[in-house]
Amino acid sequence: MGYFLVPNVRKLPSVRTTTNNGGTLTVPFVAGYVGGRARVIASASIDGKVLAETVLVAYAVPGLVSLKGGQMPDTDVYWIGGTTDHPQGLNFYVQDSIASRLRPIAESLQTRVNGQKLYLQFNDASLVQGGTFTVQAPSPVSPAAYENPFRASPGHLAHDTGLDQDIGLCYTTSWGDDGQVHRVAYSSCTSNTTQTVNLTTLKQFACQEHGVAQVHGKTVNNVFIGTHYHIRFVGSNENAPGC
Amino acid sequence: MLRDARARRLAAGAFLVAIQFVSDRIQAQSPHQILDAVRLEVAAVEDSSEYHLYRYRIVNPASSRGGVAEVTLELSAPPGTGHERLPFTGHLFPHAAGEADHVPFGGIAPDGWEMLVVKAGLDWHVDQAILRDGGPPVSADSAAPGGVKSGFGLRSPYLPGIGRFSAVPTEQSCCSEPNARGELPNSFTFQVRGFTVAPMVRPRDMNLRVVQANLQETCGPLRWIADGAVCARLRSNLERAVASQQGDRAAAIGSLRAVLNELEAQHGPGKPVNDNAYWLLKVNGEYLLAHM
Repeated sequence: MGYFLVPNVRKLPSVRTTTNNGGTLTVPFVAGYVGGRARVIASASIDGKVLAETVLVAYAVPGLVSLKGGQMPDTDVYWIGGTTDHPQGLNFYVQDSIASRLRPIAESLQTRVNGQKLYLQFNDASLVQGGTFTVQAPSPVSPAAYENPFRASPGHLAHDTGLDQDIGLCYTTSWGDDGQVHRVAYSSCTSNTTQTVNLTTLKQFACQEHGVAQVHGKTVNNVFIGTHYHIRFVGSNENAPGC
Repeated sequence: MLRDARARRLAAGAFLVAIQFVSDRIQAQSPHQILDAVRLEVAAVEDSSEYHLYRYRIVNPASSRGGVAEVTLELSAPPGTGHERLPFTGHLFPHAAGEADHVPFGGIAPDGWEMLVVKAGLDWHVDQAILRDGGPPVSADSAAPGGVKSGFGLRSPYLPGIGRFSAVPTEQSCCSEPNARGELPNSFTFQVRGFTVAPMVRPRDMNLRVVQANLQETCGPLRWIADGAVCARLRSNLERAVASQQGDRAAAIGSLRAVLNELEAQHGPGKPVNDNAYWLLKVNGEYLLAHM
């Protein structure tokens, strides 16, 4: 889950040292993964007596902001993706520079079919503190802001730093958050191209905002099934691959 | 109590947490090339009373290993030019992707293809990458290897210059195999680039020097005119036109006519002047001739 980093770059699972005159010491600790927490057992020998305490250290990606209720107006997108693992609302966090780039993508891709306005479905971005979050729990679990990236069926391994955004394959006619009542599943629009978010258009708009849009999915019986689009952003001074 | 406090300081204040960001998560795409030297050729430039109508075709060489599903033509212009649109024929995605200044233009797309104004250019792409049940996305149409796809066009009052384009292969030719993380490659990483004829020059900025520069490129790196002797004659006549345009208007007109006659004689199947060179030099030459 991490290691202590001592001078001359040694990585140690534990470290023994002495406090300064003020009774404190500082040891850099490198998190084993992004976003999450670890228990660190600290023991001290003072005047021959040993004291021990366990502290919980949280690893957080700094500066993540909620898209929902923040820079993305509810009237621009339809919010989906809440699960027992991460209730709706915990899964819409991104780096603040990404928030301002997602809004033009959402607004540009809105469309109309037969007079009916259609909206993108915004699915998982990152958790409140970043880090891995599970989407395919092997068994029912409690809602958790911190999730174990080393479990047998990990979820979004790429959504740990606030640079990623999942978008539904299908449009929906609703906006805002109504508890996913009007969520349109990925299999519901494959026979109706007017209800499907155009992959090429999404790629182009993502490129304009320094992002790479890809199809993500699952392979069942050796057949790939696209389940959602995914945008991975790079720095605003970089060109995303292919753009 | 003091010892307890020390222990707590030791425990609670002793750790600096470093977070390592992984900035290179986007996987490197496969380096193998799908498209060979795709060409976006101008098939004709017709003069309307208000604009020129540029007609294009996508030519995909037989050496390609996939069809062309998307072409983007750059139409950027100096700041201050604006964002004027002329009528579009075909399906235009309603929102523009980018606000850069571009030459005035309107697009034309064949059936089954859509248009999108992207940055300062026009993107033509196949109607939809359909996500079929139980399969990866599929581009609905394309310019197949060894094939030609016609029906693309532009309206613009600007005169032709040499512009850049990019072409992207079909989803099924490049991007249907997921990686271990269940991600399909992005077809943009397989795009190829090239040069074509595009509206680029404001009519009032057209002059013989611009035509000379065009000829230099078409006879040089672009090799749109493959015969050195033809290039030499065109170059010579253009130089005479430049030299005489101030003092001897009739001689300048005569030299420019000689250029146009040479183009006509050397353009056609099996001849050294290809369509791009022909329309580039002919339209600009005729414009100058009409305004001398």
